[in-house]
Amino acid sequence: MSLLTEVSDLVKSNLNRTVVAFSILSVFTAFGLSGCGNTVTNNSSSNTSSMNMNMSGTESLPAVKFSTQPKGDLKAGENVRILVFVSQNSQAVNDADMVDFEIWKNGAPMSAHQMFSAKKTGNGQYSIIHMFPTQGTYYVMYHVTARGSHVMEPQKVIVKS
Amino acid sequence: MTGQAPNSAGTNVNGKTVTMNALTGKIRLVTFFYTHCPDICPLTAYQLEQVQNQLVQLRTFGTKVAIVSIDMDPEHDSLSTIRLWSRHFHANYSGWYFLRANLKQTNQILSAWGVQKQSVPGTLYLSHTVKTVLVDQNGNIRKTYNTANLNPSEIVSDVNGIIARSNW
Repeated sequence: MSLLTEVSDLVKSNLNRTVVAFSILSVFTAFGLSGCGNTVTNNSSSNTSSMNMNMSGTESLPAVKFSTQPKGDLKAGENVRILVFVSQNSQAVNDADMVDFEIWKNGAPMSAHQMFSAKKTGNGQYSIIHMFPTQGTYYVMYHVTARGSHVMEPQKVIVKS
Repeated sequence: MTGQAPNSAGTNVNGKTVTMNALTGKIRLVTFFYTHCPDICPLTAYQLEQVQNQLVQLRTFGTKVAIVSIDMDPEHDSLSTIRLWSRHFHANYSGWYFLRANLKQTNQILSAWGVQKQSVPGTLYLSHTVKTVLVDQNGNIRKTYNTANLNPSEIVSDVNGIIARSNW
């Protein structure tokens, strides 16, 4: 099954997407919107929606470079660091609002997708430590919200026994 | 983004053409979406539903304030899918407009509003600018919100402030 077909299947149900969105919202609401550079809760009395960015004009979308440590094929049952390097106009972005990784095994239903919030672990770098439980083909989609943009892209990851 | 709001036009979910100029006299919240969007757009719509509900209680929704959601992906979003998507957020169509234009017009509209989009290879997703723009009754851009952290109470407060000042 191609990724496009899979994603197409995933997005066919508007209701499912909304449920997923509300699930994400619930997580954000439960834990607060913990961005890596900002902490903003939806119930916050402080007015923060427009404070942390320059919305004037059109800014280029942030560039995101994905990688894993170790690189290449990964092993099931072992910890791996999944990371992105975020930059804009060749400058590291250290004030991302949110960086999340959505992980699912090839063919898994939307309900089996897992979301993990990344932490800032270096200059422009955001990462998580993750263990893939079994061998197979997985997808890791980063969701980077920074500088007034949302950037996402799925990456194929091979996990061996 | 400052100055006058662009006079964008699109087809509403009821099939009628709506322009920003035709909404002059109302405060407008302008935002951008596509229905295949997995996270930011439905979250934004959910937050705007909260704004809608608060303004309905204040009896200003539709009469003094409108929400304009502009579709970013007309290649994959038909009016019927937009209508279906919008219903999940209990949109009150008397004051919440979901506008779709053709691809060329959409690209012009997005450029005018300073919104970038980029297809995510192999998917139906878009990477895109996330912002919601507050436009006053005279078409002046008053504020731009980071949609990633949209705060309905802040928006309603800003809207109420504009309404209050217009009564001075």
